[in-house]
Amino acid sequence: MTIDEKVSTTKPNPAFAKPASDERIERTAKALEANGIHTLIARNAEEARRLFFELVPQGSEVFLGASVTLETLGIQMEIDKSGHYEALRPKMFAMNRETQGREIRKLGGSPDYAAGSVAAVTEDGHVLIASKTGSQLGPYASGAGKVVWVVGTQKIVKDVSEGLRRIEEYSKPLEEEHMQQLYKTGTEVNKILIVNREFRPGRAALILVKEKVGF
Amino acid sequence: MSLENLKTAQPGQTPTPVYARPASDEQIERTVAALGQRGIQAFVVSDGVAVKAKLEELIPAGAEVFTSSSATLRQLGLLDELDQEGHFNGLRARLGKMDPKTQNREMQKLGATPEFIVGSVQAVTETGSVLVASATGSQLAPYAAAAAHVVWVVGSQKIVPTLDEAIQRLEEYAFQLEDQRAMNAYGRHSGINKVLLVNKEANPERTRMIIVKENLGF
Repeated sequence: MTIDEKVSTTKPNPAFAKPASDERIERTAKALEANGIHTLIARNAEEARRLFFELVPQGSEVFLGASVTLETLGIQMEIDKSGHYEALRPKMFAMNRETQGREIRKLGGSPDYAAGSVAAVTEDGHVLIASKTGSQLGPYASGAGKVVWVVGTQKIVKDVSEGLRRIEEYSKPLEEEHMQQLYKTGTEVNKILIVNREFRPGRAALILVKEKVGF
Repeated sequence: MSLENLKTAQPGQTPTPVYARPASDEQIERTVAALGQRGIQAFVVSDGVAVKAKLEELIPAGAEVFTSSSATLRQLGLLDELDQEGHFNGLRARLGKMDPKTQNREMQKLGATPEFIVGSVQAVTETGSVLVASATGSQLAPYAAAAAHVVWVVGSQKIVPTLDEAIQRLEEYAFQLEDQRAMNAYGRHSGINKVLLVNKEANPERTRMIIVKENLGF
């Protein structure tokens, strides 16, 4: 396929909604580790939450990418609302875009921790993230000190090619609907980051949740 | 498409010569129009000598500038002007005085969020998509979102018809040359570790591209 093609936003392809088998999860975790991404497996949402907060200590500076997964797991609420973290998103939203644009950009571009989810993880250990503005891609690619991704196992795909298909046929239509409901605006796959390997040891961690969570 | 082949790109291949050929005027025109549709303003200059003046036109004097490791800028001899504290406020001059052992996070913050990032890309499609690969990812943060402005300097040999060919160009040409350079410079291989695909820039004032009608960089 070419992602240049305008794909009409129709119904999400249900083939991409199915949580992966244990065997597939193991294979994926091993491949991610080999590519420098530390991978943890959570049996359910509750365990994922616990693992997440073990990785991100209280008091940390944290930037969250907009993520249905983190919202569903209650992680977003805890980070952004509990007061136990130096949460960057609420801080950035409270600032004035016109007069403090530079400060907002500097804050969000290089947090100590960036966390969110991804659009697809491949069985051979690659991670795909799609974005409309690119704002979470900067911290993920290199701006953040550490990166933590939380990923429902329905996002596991065979390879990068299938991952790109998952973005177009599944994540994008769901995200479109979500954005229309929330803000009456659509979404676009403007930027895609593919992580084949993490260069800095200990920088990136990924929690695979054995549940269908997020898009 | 063949993005999945990225992981199998093997070093040590002879760079495919077809990707060294500057694009035709028609190809360049098509590409400029397509980029414009996708929020990236593109300018065309006839040769490398004209790049410096164009950069000085696009980047205000005194602006904070960071350069990505770029064979294009090196070849044009522009790194000195862009990296020093002179005509521009070159971030690399400041970073050079810092200690990566004790100031690593601070250096990461500075490098991720400059006012201007200047560098190049591995391929541009005639349909207006841009492909950038990186071993460390360090230039991808400012390119993707964290820099206020992005200026790419791109030899027209990097123009390809489709995204599939962009990936082939990356694997069979740009990566091979970069790998040779890394082996010579650092004694170790490069890697296509992170890839950024830009299909559209949502902020129309943010990203500009100078297309040079010459074979420049990798």
